[in-house]
Amino acid sequence: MSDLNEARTATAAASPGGAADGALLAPPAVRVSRSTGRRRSTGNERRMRRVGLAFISPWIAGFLVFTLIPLAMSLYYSFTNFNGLQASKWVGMRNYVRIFTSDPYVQAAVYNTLYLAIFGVVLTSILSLALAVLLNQKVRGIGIYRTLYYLPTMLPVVISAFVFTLVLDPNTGALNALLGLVGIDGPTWLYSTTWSKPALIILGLWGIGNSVIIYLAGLQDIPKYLIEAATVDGAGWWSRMWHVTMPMLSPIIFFNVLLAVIAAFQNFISIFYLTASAGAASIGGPANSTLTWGLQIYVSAFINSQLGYAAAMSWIMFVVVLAITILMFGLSRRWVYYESGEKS
Amino acid sequence: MWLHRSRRFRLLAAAATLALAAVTTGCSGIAQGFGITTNDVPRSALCPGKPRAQHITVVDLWWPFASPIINGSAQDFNCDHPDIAVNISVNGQVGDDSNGKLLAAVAAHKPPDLVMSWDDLLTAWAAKGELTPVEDHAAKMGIKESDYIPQAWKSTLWRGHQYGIPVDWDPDSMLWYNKKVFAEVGLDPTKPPTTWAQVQEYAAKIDKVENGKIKRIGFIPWDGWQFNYIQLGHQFDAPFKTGADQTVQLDSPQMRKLFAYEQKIARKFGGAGKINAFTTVTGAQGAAADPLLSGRVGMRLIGDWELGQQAKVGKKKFRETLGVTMMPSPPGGKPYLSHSGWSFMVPTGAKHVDAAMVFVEWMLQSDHFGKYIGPANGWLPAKTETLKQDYLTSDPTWRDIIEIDSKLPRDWWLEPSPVLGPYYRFLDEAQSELTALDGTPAQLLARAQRQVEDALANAIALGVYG
Repeated sequence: MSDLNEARTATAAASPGGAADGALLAPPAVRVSRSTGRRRSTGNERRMRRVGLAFISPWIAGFLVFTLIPLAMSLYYSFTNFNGLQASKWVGMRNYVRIFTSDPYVQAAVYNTLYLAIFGVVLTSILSLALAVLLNQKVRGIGIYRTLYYLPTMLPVVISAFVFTLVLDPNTGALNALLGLVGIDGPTWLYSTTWSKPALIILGLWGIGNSVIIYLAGLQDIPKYLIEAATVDGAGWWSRMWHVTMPMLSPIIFFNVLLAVIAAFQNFISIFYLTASAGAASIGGPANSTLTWGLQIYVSAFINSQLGYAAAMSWIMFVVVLAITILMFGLSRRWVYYESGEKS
Repeated sequence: MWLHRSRRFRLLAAAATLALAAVTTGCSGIAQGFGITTNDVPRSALCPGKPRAQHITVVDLWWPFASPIINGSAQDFNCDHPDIAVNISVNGQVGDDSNGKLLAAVAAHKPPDLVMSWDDLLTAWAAKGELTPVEDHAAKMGIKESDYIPQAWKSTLWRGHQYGIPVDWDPDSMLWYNKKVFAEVGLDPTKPPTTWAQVQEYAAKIDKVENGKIKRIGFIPWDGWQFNYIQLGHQFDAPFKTGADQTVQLDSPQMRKLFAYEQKIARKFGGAGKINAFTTVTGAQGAAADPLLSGRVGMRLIGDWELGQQAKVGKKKFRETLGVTMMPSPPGGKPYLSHSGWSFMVPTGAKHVDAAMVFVEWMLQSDHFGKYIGPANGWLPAKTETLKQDYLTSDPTWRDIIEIDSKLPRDWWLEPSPVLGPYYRFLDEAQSELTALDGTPAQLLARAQRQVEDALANAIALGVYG
């Protein structure tokens, strides 16, 4: 279809009469402005555009009301002392300055967010890739295994978090009971400042079904002839995996890691639920050991009623996530391989 | 192919209407989540002989915890006042609004007509305009200061206005002890400790650790009630200034002494993580969830609401198992008993304030408090007249509590201020790190002091103090 359009354009441009001579090929209603040479919309096209706009207007209205306007307002509020109820006052950069200079929670929030992002993403990526490789084997009942590994993803996060309050209970929980079977005295998990973050990472691993499925689809998409050719050339399992499978899978790995990093920065529900309900004494507890940037935004906004301040924190998080995403895209040129030969 | 002009117009109009409907439905769906229409309200069908009202005002009440008894009050109230129906919703976090639901409702101009919450949040909410002054409405209903415990009434005032009607005024930190545990370790169950030294001595006798595993703990100062460090701080004679007069005092030699004591106990058992994990059983209910009733802890600093367990385990078993006494003060300290309570508050923008006040007045009448609130929750009333209720005078444990309560002034925990929330939070965090063996009392208290000072400076800069 695009070839046809190119042919039409070329014909019209090459003929002395321009569009007039090319009229046999061009749609009858197309006109070209004499002064600019730009194509002018016909009445029908304008009418169609209006009808089209009318039909997509629910989305436009929703996007404006629920996304674009709130986004713009949050940027404005980040420079005010807005508390959600009273008239806000412009405070300039005060909120941003306070975040970087005197907020007592920033250090803990940054450390915990990075800890959960780095360890969580690395572990999630390795484990989900390993599981995908296992689930890509041709063994009997593989469909059942795939379903079983995906099932936890179907549970809402709040339900998973509730289940994990029971699983992680130091006295009666299943995890410590299992550790006890091999002679390990399990830690106190959510009650311990040392073990609370690993407990959250364990909960994160519970929902890796989504990335496993994506990896699995990527593995199955790798052309068999590449593997066969490598085998014929004498490559062993590890060589095939490292020199064929991994490069072919690298766009999928990049996609999954990118999503996981963004999700790790935005992680909120499970931490909120686990620490608010499970004896950690307070949201982000114990002793702020699970207080993340996202959680602190929530606390600032809805517990301290400093919505302007929370908006400033949100914009900082947005800029940081954006910068990390750009950086990851930049780095991906060095290791992500696209079958077409193009770099990302 | 092309549409006729009138058809096009109709099509455009239909599409635009659809878009508008989609947006407005989304908005109203959110807003209507906070209310109900009168058609959904049970009327006076269960009140035989009472006339059916022609017009019903619906009062939306947010109640902070599930209570089957409180639901019954709505029906009984409706029988007495057929023209007012009370729609009670349980909102677990309205007590501290940690889910921000009340803030969102007020901001969206769809607040409930009435909420019940803690007195220490009242000032912060009032300062930021989340509550409506109720003095005029209360006066209209004959609700007056002289009927209430003075400290309870004072806890609802901020900057010359009244923002709540006190419901209860509870002694929050008494020393409860398990008689069976006492007997098991050779202590006389009829003689609870009367001195600070005895508390430590008895606790040491009760402590039990086997193969590195905690089996029983005598006394955990921070266990029982989240703010015990304030109660004990008073008993250590620590000075507290919460920012009410725009000054803060939190760090003091007395508080450092208390924190050192707490850390010593935490260290003895390997830190608060191990202790808290031992005292909490996830998902447990009733006596099994209560470390004192179940005998995992020998003594516990907690309020009169421990009596709420009577309804679960039975009066006889409760009385056989638990006793209560005043918490002795350390040498050089002073006797103190912290009090706090819940209040009915009216959010800004509430539409049926007068009707809500009719319900408040009704609910706080002695017999209704005695039926729906007091015994079910283990609360002492804020209204003095209600202290004569049968549920209080006929129960030996309640009599013990009233006797303890009458020995000391009914003081509050801390003076209300708009930064009382941060005051508690920073102190709480300091204590959490302290008992997690992460930091010294001096470091942590000095940091908490700085943090509250910063919060105060910020509140002043934001105009919270006018």
